[in-house]
Amino acid sequence: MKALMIGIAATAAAMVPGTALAQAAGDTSTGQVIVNGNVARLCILGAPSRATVDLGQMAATSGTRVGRIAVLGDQSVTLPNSFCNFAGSALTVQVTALVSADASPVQPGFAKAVNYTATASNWALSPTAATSAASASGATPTATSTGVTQPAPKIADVNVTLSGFTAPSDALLTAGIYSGLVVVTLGPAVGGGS
Amino acid sequence: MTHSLILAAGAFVALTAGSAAAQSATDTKSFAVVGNVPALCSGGTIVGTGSTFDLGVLIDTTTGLLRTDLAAPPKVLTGSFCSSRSTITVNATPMAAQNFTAAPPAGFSRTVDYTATASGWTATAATFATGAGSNPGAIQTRPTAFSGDINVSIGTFATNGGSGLRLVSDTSYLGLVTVTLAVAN
Amino acid sequence: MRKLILASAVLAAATATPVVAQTTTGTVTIDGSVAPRCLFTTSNAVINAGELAQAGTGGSAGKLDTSKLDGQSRTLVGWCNGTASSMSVEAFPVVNTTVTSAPPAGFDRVVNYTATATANAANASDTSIVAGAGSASTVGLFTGNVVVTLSNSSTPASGLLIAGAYQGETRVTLSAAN
Repeated sequence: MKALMIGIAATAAAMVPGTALAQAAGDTSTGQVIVNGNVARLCILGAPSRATVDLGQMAATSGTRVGRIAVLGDQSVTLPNSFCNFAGSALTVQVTALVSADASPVQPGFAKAVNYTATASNWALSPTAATSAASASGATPTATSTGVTQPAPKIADVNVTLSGFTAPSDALLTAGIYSGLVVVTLGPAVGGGS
Repeated sequence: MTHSLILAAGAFVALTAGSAAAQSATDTKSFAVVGNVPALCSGGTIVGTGSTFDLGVLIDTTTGLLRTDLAAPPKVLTGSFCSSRSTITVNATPMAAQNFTAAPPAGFSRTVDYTATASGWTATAATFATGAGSNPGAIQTRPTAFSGDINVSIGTFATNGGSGLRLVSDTSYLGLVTVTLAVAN
Repeated sequence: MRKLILASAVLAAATATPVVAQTTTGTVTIDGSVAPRCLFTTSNAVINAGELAQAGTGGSAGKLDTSKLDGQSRTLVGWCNGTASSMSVEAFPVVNTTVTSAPPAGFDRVVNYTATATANAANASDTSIVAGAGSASTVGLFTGNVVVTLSNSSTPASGLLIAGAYQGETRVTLSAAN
């Protein structure tokens, strides 16, 4: 009988292979929860620090340049905390000349438009500038320029400077209310981007 | 086990459905630029010839009467302009003796009338006759802005009171012509 | 014939004799063992959190929307047969896999969070901010759900999130012990 017992015990052990070894080492099991997400490409321009830039009275009222465009100083508008969250963005500036609302035809020697340059800076390595080239009669008042690519995500105050106010052919300016527009666009650089 | 996974997926869909973004990779902002130019006129300057019509001796020394051949070259106001619709007005005062200021005796006059004309600005020249009772043509309107030369001339001289009167002797007879440009509404 | 009969007689004589009636018991001992083990029977789940940045144009536009991760949970299933079994969690941050360079000032490319696993009324948690697993908790003998919940999501610089695809994971480890 003793011989029988030993035999059975040995068989029992053989029936559950590997467990004896595992017992000594301990056992772990790992589960995994994967988290997937996405952030879309986004640009936001800050609201302009001024909704309207008023140059006031634009013509000299005395002196040798009476009736012609006066020396108008530079104007600045800031678009604070503008950002793009991706590499490869660019600023585009569209400038529209100031044109008089008076619809009557322009007389020889006169102009009803004031041209100027709008320069957007503090985004990429060099600024983006557009200069309007309206004719004396106010035709073709709009010009557009797109700047160099900003190669990394960026958050910054975009500064827009208006300068170089001139009348076509430096003509006399017809009386009236003049208005123009500056449009700034921030987005993926054409032909580039991430 | 499967049940709980599906529930979780359903909840996930509800979470993201409301997050459809109105943002995009491009943003645009703009601002207006305004200014004004006042209506103004500038009368220009007389270049070269001085601002005096010098007529010289006014009388025919044999008759003592006003010369009939008085003439002076016109003056040009250069560089005049108005940036809007405007009126041109001519005003003239008769040439009067400056020293002999008392009423002249019978048979004599101390005043010479004439007509002043400003042309080149309006379709119809503005004229002022110093001897006329009224001068409606002295003010003319230009409906557009304009830049150009204004020609100022004088003529049609006549002795005030009658061509038979003689002029009193005076070294200085003086009249004044004024041309005014003004913006019109 | 005599031999046969004799033989039979002998045989008969042999079997006819009854054995004495006494009881004796033999015992066979069966020995076995069950080693402590843990096993995840449902070991994988995925949280698709979607757009991680805030919408709109206000001051927080483009920054982490904490509602995308906070409160997200998935249920794994497992068991442990040892009374001293333990559970630990290791949370790995959700990182931008499209853009791997260091973010410029004002931007982040990593979202941190706390992951908590609950099984058999025991909790174990870990924050992705600190590398390595969190402390283990005793979960004991159980079979059932292991619920993993995310909370406290944040970005290192509270900045704008750089555009791109993001991925992270939470690992839950069950360790068997008696």
